[in-house]
Amino acid sequence: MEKFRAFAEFETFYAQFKPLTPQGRLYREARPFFTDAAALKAEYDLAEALAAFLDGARHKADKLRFHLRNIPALELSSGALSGAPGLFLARKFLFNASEIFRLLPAPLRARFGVKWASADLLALLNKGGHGEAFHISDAYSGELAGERAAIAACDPVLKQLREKRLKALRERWGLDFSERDFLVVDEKTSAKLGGAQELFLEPFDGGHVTVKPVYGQEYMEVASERDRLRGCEQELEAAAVKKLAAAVLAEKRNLETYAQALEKLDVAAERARLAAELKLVRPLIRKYHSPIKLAKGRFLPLESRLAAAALKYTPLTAVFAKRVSVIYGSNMGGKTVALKTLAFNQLLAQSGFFVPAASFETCLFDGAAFIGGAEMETAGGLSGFGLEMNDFVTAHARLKQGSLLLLMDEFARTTNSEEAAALLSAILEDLGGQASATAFLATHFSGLKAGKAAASFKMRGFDTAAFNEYFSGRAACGLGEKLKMINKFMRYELLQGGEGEEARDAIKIAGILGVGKAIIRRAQDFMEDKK
Amino acid sequence: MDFIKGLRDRTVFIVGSKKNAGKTTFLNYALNRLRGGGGLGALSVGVDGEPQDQVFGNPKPQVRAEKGDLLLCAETALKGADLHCELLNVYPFRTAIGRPVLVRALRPGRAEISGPENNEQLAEVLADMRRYGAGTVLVDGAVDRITQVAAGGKAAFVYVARVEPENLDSSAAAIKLLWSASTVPLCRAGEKLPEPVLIIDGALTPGRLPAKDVKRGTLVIEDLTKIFLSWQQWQELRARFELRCGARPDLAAFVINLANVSRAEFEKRLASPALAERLIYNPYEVTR
Repeated sequence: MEKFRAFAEFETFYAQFKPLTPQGRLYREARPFFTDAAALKAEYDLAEALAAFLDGARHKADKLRFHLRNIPALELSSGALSGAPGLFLARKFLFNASEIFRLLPAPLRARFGVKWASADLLALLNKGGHGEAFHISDAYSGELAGERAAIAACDPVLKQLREKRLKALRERWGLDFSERDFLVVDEKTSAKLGGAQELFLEPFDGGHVTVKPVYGQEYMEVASERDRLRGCEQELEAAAVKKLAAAVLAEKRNLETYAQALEKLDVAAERARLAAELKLVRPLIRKYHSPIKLAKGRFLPLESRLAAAALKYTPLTAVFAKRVSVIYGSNMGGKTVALKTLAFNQLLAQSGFFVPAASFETCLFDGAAFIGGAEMETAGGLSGFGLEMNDFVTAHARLKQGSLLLLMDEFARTTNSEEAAALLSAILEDLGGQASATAFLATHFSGLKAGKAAASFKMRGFDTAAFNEYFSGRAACGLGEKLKMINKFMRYELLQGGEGEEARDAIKIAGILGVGKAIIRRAQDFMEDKK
Repeated sequence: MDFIKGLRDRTVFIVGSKKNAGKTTFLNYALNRLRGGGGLGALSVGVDGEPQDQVFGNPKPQVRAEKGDLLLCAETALKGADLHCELLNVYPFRTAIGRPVLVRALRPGRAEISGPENNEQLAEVLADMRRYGAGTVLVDGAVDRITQVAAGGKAAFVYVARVEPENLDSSAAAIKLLWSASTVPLCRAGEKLPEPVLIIDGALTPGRLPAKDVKRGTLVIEDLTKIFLSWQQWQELRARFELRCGARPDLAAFVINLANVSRAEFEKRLASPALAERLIYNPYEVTR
């Protein structure tokens, strides 16, 4: 599947799928591939329903995104709830969840499985909060308020005693501690301070002494009392935390249900956003095996690359009625892009997304595999050809486990054409006889014997007449312009038929790309001789 | 002008020459001095794990907060802290000592500050602190985090050094290098510079110095926090090249804590009266 995803350049799309909640991000990491039509329909329905709700309602969409972004990860263990941070997160989760649910009309809430039943718990947690802030407030315990009032009474006394002592030290010894906890003085100065009861001295280095104020008995008594009160306060806070944690844990099931609903909402909202921004449509899923019908299917990664280079992009329209399809065509004629477009749309559809097409009718496959692009690879002593054969054996074995969408791009291109054609013909015939196989082969080999179960297609290819008319008297210069030239006159359309026809554009393309005129003419002579 | 007042309404990274150079002590001093002029925030980057402040031999100083101060503390450190506070955010990123929690003190108290582990997280925390009203944010930097300064946009930094007889020469060299690097002009668009113009992305280490046969030209470095050269290598580089930098974090001050070293000895090693004038010696020291 990874190779299939890579071939379809799926990551370029998936990188734009950015759920906002931790729950949604976990879903994203799981990379679901739907093989169950009912489950996939449910995903499509949710995205469609949310899209309809948010359509044109910018304010609602912004509000939804704001609260989704503020949903924290939910940890509902007693350990995670043993302190104020855990409760802060529980409140933050509930607050944002409630705002999101309130935003949705009742029928939509029901579709996402939301039954809000935590108003009391949120009200309890809100006693410790205002805005986004939360603390173990006095409202959780009458005693807490008392302890805190007592601590609050200590603080000004301590401050007063401290200031009084610092003033005395300033007046008697000339030491200003007002912005410092301690001072460093030289030995000569420290010698004069030796007997001072209100100062604590200790060595700093060989020539200096650290001096700290000693605040006196009364200060120590108040500070000690404050420490005792703080201890009591901490105990009361811990008891309040325990009660609040118990209240949260009592609603664990509700919170988990909300988390599931938020995951669905987040994912559906992201899918709806992508559908609107990238002009995606809902695919039509038929039973296996049904014809695959793609109308103006776009391969988004290429479309954006071409747009950046100011080149035209041709969407793909095709009906693949049979389970085995062979796509013939010349070099740079768009065979691989046709396969990629199909793979891209199918992957999006089975990953729960709408697709970039005018319409897309397809069926679900239990798996997908891609074989190709191995000519530069070697692994475990296998050549590119060896790797392709190995991949085919693996894919073929999967046919016993369920339906498989198998894409093969220039399969066996690295071996001699005679043997390659024979091998391909045999493989196509075999796949035609396997009900679980739906295969697409793009090749520039001509005259394959694919059997009755296979359909043939060809890329329309290079428009020589238009090229000659345009090109007369002009000279292409850099590679960019040459590519533009090919792009301008290559007709990236898929036509029915083509079996037995040879692709005849390679020499023209070589000419455009700068191969010498003499060589091109000679090559054309050879072609004529062969005829 | 009192340099401390110049730190107001900025993000100030307090970086040190080594562990226990006195950064947190200076941070507390700066917090005291900056009170009454808008919201204050404090956090650290990196945890150095030393229980004691070796400059002054005290237990590692905690940050003393007044009501309204914003602190970033580790979840675990909050439990034992003498700090009554409200929680403003609990960050999802985990550090070795638990999740960072942004708190606002509800009354005076003390706590150990903590920090995020990378620049992206740091940016998020700083943005939150600003959102919750912090005008000045002090960032206690770990020894190897001087590079964090570069992530702080218009941030300033204070370099705190503990100078002892054992590190007298190396401390003086490090300070001279920083001082010298802080004077490298910014690279400006359209400026005509001596060719060849060599651009060093990331750290400038001895291994990335241009070959000896390149005798002149311009060397563009990211910022002074990316220079990992000795003073001698830096001097040689300055002699060969016109230098420019991509960013210039403001070096607000050098705070020098001398231990068993006299000012005269240290300034003799610096051999730069102009630099000596910029030094702030132990702000806790009483001179008579």
